Amino acid sequence: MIRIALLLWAALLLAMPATAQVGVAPPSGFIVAATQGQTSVTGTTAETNLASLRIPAGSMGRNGHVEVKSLWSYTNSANNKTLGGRLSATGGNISGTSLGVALATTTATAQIMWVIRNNNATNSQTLWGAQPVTPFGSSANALLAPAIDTTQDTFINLTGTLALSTETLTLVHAYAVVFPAN
Amino acid sequence: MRRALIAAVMVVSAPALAQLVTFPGVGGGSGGVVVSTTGPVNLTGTTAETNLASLRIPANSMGKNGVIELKCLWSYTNSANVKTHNYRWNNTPGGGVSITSSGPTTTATAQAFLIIRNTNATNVQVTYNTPLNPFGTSGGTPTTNLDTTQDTWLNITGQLALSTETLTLQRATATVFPAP
Repeated sequence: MIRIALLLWAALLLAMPATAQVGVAPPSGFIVAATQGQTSVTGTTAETNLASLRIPAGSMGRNGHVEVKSLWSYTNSANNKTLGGRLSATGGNISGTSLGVALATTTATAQIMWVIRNNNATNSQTLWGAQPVTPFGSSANALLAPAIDTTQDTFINLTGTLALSTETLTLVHAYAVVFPAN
Repeated sequence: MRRALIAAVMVVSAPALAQLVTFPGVGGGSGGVVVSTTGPVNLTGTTAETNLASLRIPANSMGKNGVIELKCLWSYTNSANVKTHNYRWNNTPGGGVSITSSGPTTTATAQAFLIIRNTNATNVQVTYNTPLNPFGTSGGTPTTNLDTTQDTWLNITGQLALSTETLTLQRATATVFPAP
């Protein structure tokens, strides 16, 4: 059993996406994937992957959830800085279903949160539809409904988009915690 | 006799530190530590900053990129006077650098949430510093430099502007999510 756990742990390390350094804690009742060092986007107005947090295949169960919390800094200006997240079957890119975005302008930092819940099925998720800068409260927005197969490795692609390419958007730190439930 | 009486009054008015309960290895694995107070702690009778709880974060439990999530529930006198909640971090129980604080007035309860992140080093942390609005764009991000390869303590203090009022730390819980 211990050997299997160690092998899985080694496999997790080997399979990390190349676009961002990500650490995964050893096997336990929950799983933490965290960025290792900050990443930035500047010089482009294209949506850019800043980190991919891998949710190991089958770790959520049919009713588990993932909490993703990230800390950002950026140029304080009137121009939009878009802090985004996508749920995808692949990492290191800007693919996947949007988890909703936060639009930042005349502030300097942001802390945001998504809660991704499997909805009594391993391939059906539900999320609150408000901006992730206000993860608690009430909203007129409809719930989001990604449909990613979590029996396979799943990636949370954190992305940044600048309205003005000379500005800078930095993902300071991000982590995902899996709370499994069947 | 008079000195003894004053000493007795001081002992009665000084709040006892919160009792703690710790759950190492949440989930049966190597990751995760939860430390929690086990009952309310009241502050009254003084305007001095007073330590209400010290939550021990075990040495090396965070890793270079792990985090501590600290959640606190407070109640207090609803008045125009400031009731200060201060969140300090130190190598010993009590005192230490203030990570952030908040000072509610004309409300009765507050729930606070702080995320203290090691940022690719065991001795460099960054925290989004608006615990009563833990998500959003209005916060600052102060850095601290505690060595988390050693035991550290989150020291949660209270301070009254008017000593006859009361500030109560109902519950404080710290959860460590480790990451290498």
